[in-house]
Amino acid sequence: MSAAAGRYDKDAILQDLVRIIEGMIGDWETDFSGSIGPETLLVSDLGMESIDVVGLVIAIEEHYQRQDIPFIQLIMVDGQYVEDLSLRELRDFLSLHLDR
Amino acid sequence: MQRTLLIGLDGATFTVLDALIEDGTMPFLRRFRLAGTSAPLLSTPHPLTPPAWTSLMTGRNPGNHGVFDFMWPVYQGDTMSIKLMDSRDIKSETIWSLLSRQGRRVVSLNFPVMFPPRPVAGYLISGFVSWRHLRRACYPPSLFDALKKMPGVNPRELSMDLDQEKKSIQGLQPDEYEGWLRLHITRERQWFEITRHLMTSDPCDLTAVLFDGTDKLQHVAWPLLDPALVPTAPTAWQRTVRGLCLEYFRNLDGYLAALVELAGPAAQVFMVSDHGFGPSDEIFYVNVFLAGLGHLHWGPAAQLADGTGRHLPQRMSVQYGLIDWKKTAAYCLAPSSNGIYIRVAAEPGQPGVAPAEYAGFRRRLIDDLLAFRAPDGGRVVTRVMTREEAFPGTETARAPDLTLVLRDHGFVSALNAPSTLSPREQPVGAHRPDGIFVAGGPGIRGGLATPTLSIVDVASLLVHSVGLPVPANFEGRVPEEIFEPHFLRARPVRVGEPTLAVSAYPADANESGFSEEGEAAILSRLRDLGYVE
Repeated sequence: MSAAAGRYDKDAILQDLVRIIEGMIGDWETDFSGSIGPETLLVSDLGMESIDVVGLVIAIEEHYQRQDIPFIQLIMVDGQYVEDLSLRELRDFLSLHLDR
Repeated sequence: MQRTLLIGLDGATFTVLDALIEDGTMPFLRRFRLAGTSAPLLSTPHPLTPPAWTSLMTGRNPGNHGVFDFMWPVYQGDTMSIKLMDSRDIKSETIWSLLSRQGRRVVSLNFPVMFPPRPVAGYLISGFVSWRHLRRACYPPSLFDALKKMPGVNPRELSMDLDQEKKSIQGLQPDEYEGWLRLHITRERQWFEITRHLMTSDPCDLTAVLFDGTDKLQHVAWPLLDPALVPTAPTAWQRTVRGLCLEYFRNLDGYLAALVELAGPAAQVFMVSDHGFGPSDEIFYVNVFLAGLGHLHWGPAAQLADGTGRHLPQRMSVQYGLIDWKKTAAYCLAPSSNGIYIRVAAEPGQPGVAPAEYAGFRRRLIDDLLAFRAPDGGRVVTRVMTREEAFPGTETARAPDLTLVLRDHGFVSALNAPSTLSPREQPVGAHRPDGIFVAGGPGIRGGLATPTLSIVDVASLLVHSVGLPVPANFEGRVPEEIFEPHFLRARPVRVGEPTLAVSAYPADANESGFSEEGEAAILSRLRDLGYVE
C-alpha cells in the first residue's frame, strides 16, 4: 500500500500501477517490449481491450480496497469514452481521489 | 464423510435433453435420471444467468443477493454509465464461503459473478472471465500455474472469449457456426479435465462445476435442437451443424458419467440448470416503444449504435450516446434484464420523473405496455412485474423498476429500429423459467419425478448434503420428498445460524482463518503431483 500517514504520493501510486499491470499482462504475450512507465498507453502500447480496462479497474479497486473511486470521470469525457489512457493520467486521477 | 457433486448445465432444458436421451446421444443421463429423482427447477423471476446462479449459490432471491443482470446503471449527474456486476456486488454469503468457514472444503469452477474470487477452503475459478484475466480469477492464486501444468489443460481454451460470446446474442453467419461450436466443445473438455484433476488429486466435500456451452448452443442453434423444429429433410449445412451439436452433448454425457464415477457410489450428485429454454420468434424494441410514448429520447449517436470504434468500456448494452440522458425518463439498459429503469429526478429540474409522480408514471407505463398489441392483435407484453413484486428484499432499490415477460419469452432489444415489433427470420433460443433438476446417490429416491422445485432449494440441499444445518435465512427448503425415509431419519434436516452479513466474511486471503493453512496444504498437494514447483 502506498499510503503514508494517510496520503498517497504519485510515485508510490505509479509503482503500484506498474506492479498491477505487469501482473495482469504477464501471460498475454504482447508485442510491447519496453518498460512500463508514466507514458505507457493502455490501448496503443499494451493492447488492452475494453474488458481489460474493466479488469484493471477491479484490480486497482481491490488493491486499494476502495470501490468509490469515480473511474467514469476518467474514461468518459464530454459524453464520449476516451480512446486511450496513459499511466500518468491514471496515476494523477488516483492521486486526486484516493485521499478523498 | 459423504461427498457431494454439483454439475451445473447452463440453460439446460428437458425439452432438448429428453430428445437426446431418446435418440441415444446421452445414454448416461438416461440411466442416471431413471435411477434418481428429477423435477423442473423454477428459475428466478427473470430467468437469467447472473441472478439465477447467484440465487443457487446463496440460497437467496435476487431481492436479497442484489444481482439482477450482468450490469447496472450508475448515474453521474446528467450522465449515465454501466457497471458490470462482480463478486463484490453480491450482498449475501455464498455456499462456498458458508461451507469453508464451517470446516468443509469446496471446489467451485466456472460459476458467474465470482470474479474477483473470494477465499475458500479449496479451489475456485471464476467463470465468464477472459483468458487474459484467468490468473486473477483463480483461488488460490497458485492454481493458475498449476492449471498450466495439468495434462490436457490449456487456459487459453478454457476461458471466455468475449468477441466469440457476443455472437451467441448477435447471431452467427452460416460459415461461423462450425468454428464457434468447436470452441465450445473444446472449452467444455477443458472444464471437465480440470474438474477431473482436482477430484482425483484433492477430493473435496463439495465439488461444483458449471458447463455453460449448453446455453450458448441453444441460443444460436435452437431450430436444430428443439425436437419440434428439427428439420426432417436437413440441408448439408444443417446436418453439419446439428452433428456438431450432438457431438457436444455426446461429449457432455461422457463428462457426466466420468465425474459421477469419480465422485464414487457414496456421493450425492445434483445436476441442475439455472433456467430453461424455448423458441423466440419476434423482437420487441422496448426503447422504441418508450420513445413513442415520449419517455425516451434518442441521442446524436443513435445511428452509430453498432459502430466498432476503439473505445475503452465494453459496449455490451445501450451506448452512452444512443440516448439523450438529459431528456429520458425511462429506458431499457440491456436486453438481458428485460427491464425498464425509471429515472427519478434527484432535484427539481434534474432529468427524470419527479418523486411525487413516480408511482403514477409507473402505473401508466405498465398499462401502456400491457395494452400494446401486435399486428395479429395479440398482446406482446404478457406480464409486467414491479421491482417490489419481482424482487422483494434488502436490495430491491437496485433492480429495474419494471421487468417484462413477453409472449414468446424472448429478450427485448434495447436498440433503435424502424418499428416496435419485428418478426425474426427464424426462431432463436431464449430463456424459459423451468430449468432442470436431476439427483442421484445414497438416500435419493429412484425413478421419481416430483413437481417443480425452486432454484433456491438447491443451496439448502447442498448444505444438507455436506452434513451442515441449513441457514435460517435461506429462502428455499430441503425438498424432503426426494429422499428415502430411512435416510431422512438418519440425516434429518437441521436449521442453523443465518449466513453472515457480507461485511462479516473474509474479503481476502489474509482475513480468512482457513486460507493460510488451506493454501499451504493445497500447494503441497499440487507440488506432489508436479503441478507447481
